[in-house]
Amino acid sequence: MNRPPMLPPKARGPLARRLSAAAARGAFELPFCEACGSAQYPLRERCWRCCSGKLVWRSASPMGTLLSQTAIRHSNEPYFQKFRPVALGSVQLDDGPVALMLLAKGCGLAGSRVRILNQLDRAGEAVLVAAAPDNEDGANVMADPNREIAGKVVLVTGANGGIGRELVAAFRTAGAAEVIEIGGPSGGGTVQPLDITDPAAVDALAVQVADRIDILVNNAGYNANAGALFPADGHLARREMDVNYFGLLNMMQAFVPAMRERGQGVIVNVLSILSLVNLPATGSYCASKAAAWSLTQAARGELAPWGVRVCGILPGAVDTRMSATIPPPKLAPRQLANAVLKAIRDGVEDAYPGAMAERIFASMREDAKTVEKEMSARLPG
Amino acid sequence: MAKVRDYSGVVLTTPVTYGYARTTEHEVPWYIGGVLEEMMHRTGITKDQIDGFILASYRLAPDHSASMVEYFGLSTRFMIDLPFGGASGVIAARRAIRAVQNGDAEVVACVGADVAPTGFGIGANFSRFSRDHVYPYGAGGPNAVFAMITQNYMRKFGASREDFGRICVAQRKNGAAFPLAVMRTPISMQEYMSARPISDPLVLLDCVMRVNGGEGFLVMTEDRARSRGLPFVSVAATMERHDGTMATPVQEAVGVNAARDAFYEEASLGPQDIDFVQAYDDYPVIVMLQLEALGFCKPGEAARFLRERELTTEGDFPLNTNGGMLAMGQAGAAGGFVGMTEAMRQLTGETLGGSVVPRARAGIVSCYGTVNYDRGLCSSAAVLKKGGTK
Repeated sequence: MNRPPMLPPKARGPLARRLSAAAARGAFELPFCEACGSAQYPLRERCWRCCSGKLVWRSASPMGTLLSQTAIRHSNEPYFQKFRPVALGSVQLDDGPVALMLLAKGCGLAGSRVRILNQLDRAGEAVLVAAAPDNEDGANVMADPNREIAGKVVLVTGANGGIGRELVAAFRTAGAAEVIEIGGPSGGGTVQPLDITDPAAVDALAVQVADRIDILVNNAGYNANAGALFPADGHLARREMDVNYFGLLNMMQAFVPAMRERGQGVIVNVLSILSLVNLPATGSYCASKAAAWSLTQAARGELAPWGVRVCGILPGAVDTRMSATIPPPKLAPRQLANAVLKAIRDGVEDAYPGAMAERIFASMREDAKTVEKEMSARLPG
Repeated sequence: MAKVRDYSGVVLTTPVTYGYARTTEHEVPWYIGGVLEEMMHRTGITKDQIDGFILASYRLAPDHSASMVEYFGLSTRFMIDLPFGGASGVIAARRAIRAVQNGDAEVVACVGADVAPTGFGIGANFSRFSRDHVYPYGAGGPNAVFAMITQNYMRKFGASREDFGRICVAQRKNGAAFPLAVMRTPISMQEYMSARPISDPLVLLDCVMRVNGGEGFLVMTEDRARSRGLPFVSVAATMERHDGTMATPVQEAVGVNAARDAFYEEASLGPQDIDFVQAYDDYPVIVMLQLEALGFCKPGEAARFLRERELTTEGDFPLNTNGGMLAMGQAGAAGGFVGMTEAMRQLTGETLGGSVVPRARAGIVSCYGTVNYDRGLCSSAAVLKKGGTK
């Protein structure tokens, strides 16, 4: 086993972890005082202006004004040595506080308006980045290799399904050097057949290609569209767990060692918003996706020190053959594919593409039990 | 209007500058003990007579002043740890004077001592705000923050790099004569302008070197100093301000600005009566902010003010007469005492062979420190006057 790659400082207090949590889903949130309205930064547990403890985290204005800047040409932090000079600026947020942040190219001089992005760094913690308001390049200021797609080698499972075909096309359009298409046992066309539930078969593929894979998209899935307790066929639930959980585990176990060896790589697990709450009409599928979500969290933790990013995609219903029985609105497969690429470029940990997923996720944060009740009410009959 | 306060009857004596070196095999207590040993050796005061102890150190953790009582077998009845870094020298004197006046202690040893941090990630434990919001951005120390303060000052007030360089060149000249300075080679303006960039616009010669060492002085009644024949200085005025109000988005003034009028009233003199200034010089822009706060010139005008003056010890505006930290190096929190001990030496004549401000009768010590996030929070200043006992 080689040494872990150099990463930026990971040390943060509990409040900064909350900022990192927002960055993990691409949001910029700050604590605001309920008593006097003041935004808080640097992060505090009590209000800087009135000492009130009634602080509530909510979306902050993503705009600010550049006050001053420097180019760090010597840093005592080893990670930054190879990125020097590091452009650092002092920015007054439109919400009031002054924040130090990394500057993307083109921010201009003091007095310029800037857009503020709350991003995860290579250590998986939040850093603020200022970019010109019209910057569209994602502001990957520290050249995080895990946020690049052009020139990368991508492997997509479930490549012959509705979502898989769009993923393959989207990665090709985005300039991926190579997209390896892996389909179910039958394969066909450019799609190589693979039974991801067969560890020997998965290992055999990994021996051939794992060294080259930058981005592993675990998109293969199976949904029996059945309740958990009274299924027509008892084997279907086992099949769901085999594909959605053990198949995913087989793929990650086989492909992760090479990524860890190189100190970089991205694993995208296409999950479902139903990983977070059970829809009893597809009860056993949801259980298998919940297991896959939990496994995603485990992999993220285990791989974080090794510079490998694990990204969970949790959409609502997608318009494919597998979800033909679910009524609209449904996300188009192309929209989901674009959301996957955006999640990689933005460096987020979790994405909730589509209005349905966004709404369920927001409700879950409000009160998970209410969402459970809502899902139970959707049982037919 | 603040009431004019009284410092009579209590004096500062026995300035000690100990053990300055770039590298060390020692821990912080070595330097604390070195200062105490020299204090006792020079005054004949015994350990059991030191009943007050004020200590400033960053790298003594996990120990503190109470630990040092056991380390050195002291028995004190008045003790304070000062967490004010660069502002701690004047604050130590203020606290000690009140303790002696109030009878809480008779002889107070004020000590600042530190060892230089080594290796990477050296600032990581300084503050919550720095841990969460500064170090993750590549600023492994305060250079980047002061670079932005400097950049802002240049843009708003028209200061140039040469204006900062003038301070550095003059101080290195002053330091060349001081035998305890770590950097005793003078530098030229050309060397300054072409020095290695550290964090734009700061260059290597703007930044103080981290060194090891200790500083200290004793506070006692004037009667006690006279009876022992100790050269001493008296205190005419002091002030301190710890300012977290974020008055300007980027720091453009130091906090004692707000207390200046009462300060000079207390001292019964004005800036025109001051023979030298020892100003905390972690970065030259901060020297300028202090001169503005002390009323030598208006806010934003320090660069012009300094262009018209000669800053060496022999000049018309002697500034940091032993070279300050730019020549001494910064031994952590001991840096907050560098101005105090040097001002005392100039007024008692114990300059150790360093250059002397002729006929100096009154000097100002100005301190600044504790960059918790994006600015220094603490500042303090004192007017010291020539005392007695040659």
